[in-house]
Amino acid sequence: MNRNNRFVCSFAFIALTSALLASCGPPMKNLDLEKAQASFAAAKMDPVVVKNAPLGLQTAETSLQTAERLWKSDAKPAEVSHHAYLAMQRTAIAKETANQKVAEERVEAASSDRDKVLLEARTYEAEEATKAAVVSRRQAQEAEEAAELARQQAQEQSTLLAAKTQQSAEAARAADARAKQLEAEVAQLQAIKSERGLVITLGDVLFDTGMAELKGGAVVTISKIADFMKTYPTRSLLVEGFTDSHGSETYNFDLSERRANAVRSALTSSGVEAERIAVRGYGESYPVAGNDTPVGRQLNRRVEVIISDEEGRIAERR
Amino acid sequence: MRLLSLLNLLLLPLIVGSLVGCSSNFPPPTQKLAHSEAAINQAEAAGAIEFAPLEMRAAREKLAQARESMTKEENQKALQLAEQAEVDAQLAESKARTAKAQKTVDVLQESIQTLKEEIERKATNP
Repeated sequence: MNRNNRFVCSFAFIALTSALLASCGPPMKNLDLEKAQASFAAAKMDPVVVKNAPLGLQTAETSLQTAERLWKSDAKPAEVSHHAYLAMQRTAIAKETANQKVAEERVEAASSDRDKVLLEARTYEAEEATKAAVVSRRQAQEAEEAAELARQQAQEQSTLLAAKTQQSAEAARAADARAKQLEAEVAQLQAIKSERGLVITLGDVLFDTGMAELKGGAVVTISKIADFMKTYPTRSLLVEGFTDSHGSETYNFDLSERRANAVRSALTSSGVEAERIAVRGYGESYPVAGNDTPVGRQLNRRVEVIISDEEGRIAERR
Repeated sequence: MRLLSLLNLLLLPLIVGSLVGCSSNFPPPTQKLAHSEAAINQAEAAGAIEFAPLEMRAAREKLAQARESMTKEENQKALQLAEQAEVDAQLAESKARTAKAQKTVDVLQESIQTLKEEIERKATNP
């Protein structure tokens, strides 16, 4: 073979193989590639994916471009499909990475929210605790004041009680003293306690026979009665005159009345108010002894002075 | 002239080889297999078995097939299977991470709700 022939042969050979290698027309459809292209296009349009997984998208694009290149140059369908599969999975990875980033941002936000709510809860609790503390302090203070008041009142009560007790004791002592004094004075008067009152009897010897003039021997008794009446101003007196049965009833009635009046005069002269003294004559009535003996008759010739009770009452003679 | 012959001699096996698609001049993809296995383990550690079981199963199967192909010296096939296994594992991992983050969000939001309810309850029943 000459030089030119060899040259032409080589070129023809290369041309033939190139022709064999090159596509004669458009390449056969590859569904896997089309799916990968659609998936990638969708992902590329999603701003979330573009923002959060740019590197992932780039890796996916590289695989897709390899698949496209192989497909255009009529490579084996299996090989095109393989690279299409890689592109598809890498697109999915990019999308998933974007989801992951979004979820992680949400975790941050939720965590921050939770911290805020916790802070709110703690702050609220602290405020409530402070309020409760203020309230309970105030209550304790009020309780203290109430206790103090109670103490003071109790003290006042006990002081009052002590005073009252003392007063009662003193009153009792005074009453006791008065009672004793009365006893003493009654004893002094030589009065007899009867159901009508205290009775002092002024005997016959204090009057001359048939006379109504009180003799000097009665002075002491009269003055003692007058003193008693001054001491007990609420009491009153009843003076009753009596005779023996000697003489007429009329005469005796008159005499007994005159004698009673004489005693009354003596008492008023000694300072006893006239309105406190009542007078009665009974004549022969109500003898205290038998009129058949001189002793008895003498006993019957008497004037009785009755001292009333504290209210000035004297019961009627029965 | 000799140069041209040499060129033909060089080009011919390449052209023939690309026409036939013979894998005998592909090196065994041991490094790729190692990468794929690492990717599967990483995905597993991220909890992908629970959240992306399908992708994980596909990844394991493809890795097994890749190893088998390598023993048969079908190295290009082995490479492709290994590449696919790797990408499946990576997708599984990403899905797992997203699912976990979402779970965390849900738990946090539930916690916030409970706290708010408690505050509300205390405010109305002092």
